Amino acid sequence: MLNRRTFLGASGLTAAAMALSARPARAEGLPDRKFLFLLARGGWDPTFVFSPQFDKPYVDTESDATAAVAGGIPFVDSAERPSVRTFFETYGQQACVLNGFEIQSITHDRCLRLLLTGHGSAGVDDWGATLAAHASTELLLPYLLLSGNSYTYNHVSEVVRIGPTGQLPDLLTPTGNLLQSDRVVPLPGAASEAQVRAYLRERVASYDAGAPPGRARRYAELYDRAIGQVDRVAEMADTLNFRSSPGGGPEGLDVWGPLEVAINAFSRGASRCAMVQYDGLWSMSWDSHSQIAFQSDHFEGLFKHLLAVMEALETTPGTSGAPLIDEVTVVVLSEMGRGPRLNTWGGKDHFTFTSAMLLGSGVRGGFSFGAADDYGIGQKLDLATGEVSDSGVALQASHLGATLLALGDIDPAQEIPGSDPITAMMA
Amino acid sequence: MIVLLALFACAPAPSPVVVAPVADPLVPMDDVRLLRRLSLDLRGVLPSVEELDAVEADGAQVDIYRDQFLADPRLEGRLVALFAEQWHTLVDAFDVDVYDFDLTGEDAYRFQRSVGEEPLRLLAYVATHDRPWSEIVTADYTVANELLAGVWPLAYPEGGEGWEVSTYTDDRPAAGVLASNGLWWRYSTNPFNQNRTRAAAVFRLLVCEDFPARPVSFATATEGFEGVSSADRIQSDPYCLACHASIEPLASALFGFWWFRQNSPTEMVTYHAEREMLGADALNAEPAWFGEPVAGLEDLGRHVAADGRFSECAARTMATALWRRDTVLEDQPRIEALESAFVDGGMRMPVLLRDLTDTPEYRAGAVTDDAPEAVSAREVTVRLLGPEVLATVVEDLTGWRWEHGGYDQLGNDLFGYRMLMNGVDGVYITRPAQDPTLTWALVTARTAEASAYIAVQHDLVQGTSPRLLLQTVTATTPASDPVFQDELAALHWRLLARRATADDLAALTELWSTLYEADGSRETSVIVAWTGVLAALLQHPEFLSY
Repeated sequence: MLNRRTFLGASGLTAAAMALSARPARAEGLPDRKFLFLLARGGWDPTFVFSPQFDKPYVDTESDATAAVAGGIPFVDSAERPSVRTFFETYGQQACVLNGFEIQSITHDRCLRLLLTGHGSAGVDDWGATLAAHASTELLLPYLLLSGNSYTYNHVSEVVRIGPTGQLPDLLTPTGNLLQSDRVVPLPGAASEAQVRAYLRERVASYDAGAPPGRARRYAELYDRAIGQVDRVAEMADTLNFRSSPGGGPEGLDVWGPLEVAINAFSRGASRCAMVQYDGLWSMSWDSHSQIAFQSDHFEGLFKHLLAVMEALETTPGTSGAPLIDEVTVVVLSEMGRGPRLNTWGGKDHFTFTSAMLLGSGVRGGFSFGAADDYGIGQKLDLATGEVSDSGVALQASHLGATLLALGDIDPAQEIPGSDPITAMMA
Repeated sequence: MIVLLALFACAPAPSPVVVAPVADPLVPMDDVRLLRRLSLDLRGVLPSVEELDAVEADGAQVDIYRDQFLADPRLEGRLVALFAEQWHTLVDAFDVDVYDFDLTGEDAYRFQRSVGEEPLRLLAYVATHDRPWSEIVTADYTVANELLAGVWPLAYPEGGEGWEVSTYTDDRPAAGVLASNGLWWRYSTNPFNQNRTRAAAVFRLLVCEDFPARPVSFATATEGFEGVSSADRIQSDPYCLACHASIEPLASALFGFWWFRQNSPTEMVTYHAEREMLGADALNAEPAWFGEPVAGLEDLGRHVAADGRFSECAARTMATALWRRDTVLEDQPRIEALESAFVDGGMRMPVLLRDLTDTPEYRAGAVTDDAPEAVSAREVTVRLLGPEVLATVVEDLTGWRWEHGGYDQLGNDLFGYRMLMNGVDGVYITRPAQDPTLTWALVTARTAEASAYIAVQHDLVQGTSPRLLLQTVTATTPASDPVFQDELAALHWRLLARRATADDLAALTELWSTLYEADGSRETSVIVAWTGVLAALLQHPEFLSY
């Protein structure tokens, strides 16, 4: 049977990846870099934290906030957001902020697709799925989607959804070994299930052997892989602690449950990527067409989570024995920014320019790149130095994606031709 | 039904859309498996043994069965599911919920699905009742069920049952789905958006014009940010007007569904004719369809139906549904041929469905050895059972549907497993995936195990007639009995639509024996063994694909 890894090798992708030059060297013996995506869905206003624009005449900013610097990162400081200041003081040297990149749409769905894939079309995979598909070892839960969106085309099978209310553990280890059903249905014992799976794998192999050219071989390969995953994930269900996935945590940490599952999966070498969505205070969404002040609360909540994430990554060992922070890059994103001017409802409308922040492994910490003009429009950037330059590149989501792929030891030119990584952001 | 059967009774002349180029890289699947694909796509059930036998004996029978399937009452439900993949109305939450209507939590799932299905049911009704497709935007009726009739201003037939043709009683315009509550509850709006999302949905769904897909950049824009609001800019900036010159006038035409109070059930259930004129003021744009003024929603529906892109979009939409992939530029000649035949056939959906199921793209089971890589990667020569079809297949085989607390577990994501099985929820997953995943395998495994348990309890433990799956064996039939092998062979044929080989039978027998011996209890071993064998067949790669 065509093995997924051998398939990649045969297709030349592995060779291309080996020829990479624009990526930070990985220390010998270190596992693949992992990626935790934290998505602030709805569209944040970067002028509340990442992009101080108090000197911009056509940008409305908070009246009770000031520009500050901590850990090398310029940010917007406010007494309303103590976690932001604490975060940059504590972890600024491990953070790299990118301002003024553009996501060329103003609708949420399209912006999300562009942010996570760099493309507007449906026929591509997102960064998380691509990174997961290029893992150097077979993973149990390659891209763990705890909440939020994923866009896949060739790499559908990399994505493992937990379900909005944590359905996966109910499937894996049903209470009392009964199906979650109105009708009482006892499920077979583990030994019987294993026998059936063994039969299935043998039948899939037989199917694959006789498969004609076309989709059949791919189907057989991926079905076999999925059955194998079911086998292994059932054994690991307790240690992966999926049941906490829909839960919150200590005060203000509404999405701590899924973050904890992601970190646990990383530490056990089960996943390369994970996605968690944070909808802001009271899950009210970041889409502040009115009452822009709520952005402050959302950011305070987001940075509370980030403080907890960084602490956990620093104290949790990865598969190499070193702290996970050496293996994991945290990617903090929102699908759009908010316009420079307040609207008549005291909010801000959709805007194509936004910011992102990378933390942890492989990241050039203590830096903030990118700038806005008097109107909040992002400026061109030299990708190597991070300096604003008229001869530089107008940044888009694809450049951020290329950076993530490069951090993941994937040649961006193979995946998103024409978009180079922002090497200035890479350690 | 009679009309439709008559429509397909005569042998259809070869359609111009089916003629494949000589060097077509697509290889048709065998007739029996094609019958299975047609049955699953058009009826949502496996073909019967009699149907399988007939096509095995005479491959030409497959087209006759296909025409029967196109007249089968179950087609309506299948079309609802297929339309849902693109209309995205079967969401798990709306701005209001069941408790806003004096219903109970037990009705929650039925409420959600009833609302979301309303526009899809109208589409499916038009498609299956010999109505011209244009009626989806001109009909003076909708299709509703008892629940909707209880909460919306609807005249529902007295003594009616289930989904029935109904009429709104609030004097809303005759505009088919454009006048359906279900569509606008799914595509809601707010004071900032002012129906623009709704306009974008209409363009995408009815004329395949996807405005949000166009890139938008503010990189070169500076004029306007000094003090002009974004709402004003889109009225004056040529860059914005490229899209908004079409979006605003359509959004303006939809203000009969404008709600002054968000999340207000009383606002949301009724049409507000008196608000129709608000759009012109709110958006500074008179109602129009691509530059042609429209006098209200009813007129809008007529303009949509008369738009040349409407019929092409129908062909493209159904091709996407039945080819199980997005259409691409190379498909254009085929799409145009399909559209042409569709229009010539009076815009009747069965004509389009018949022609589509004749296309090489639909009938392909493989590609040639020298097929271009792009074709090999693009064509879905093997399709996966999605959650909707798996649910109906299992229900047909065993009478059981996986429900829990009023929720269809393969049809929702609040508590169920639709997304985990790669199904389209319309928010997080917007196109069906065709590759197995861990969670897809897990959901299909649980469904198979439960179905097998139910069938074996029915057939062997209770011995109820008629039997569901095990037709001849009893709890005492030994594996060495010829009846045993015949039963396995019959199951293989029925469930997989392929005659079992000696190797297939040996593998099943070995599984049965292993499970039998491992159980260690004379009373239960046979039951355990048959349950395992059935569960295995219901997860077999050829059962779960088509």
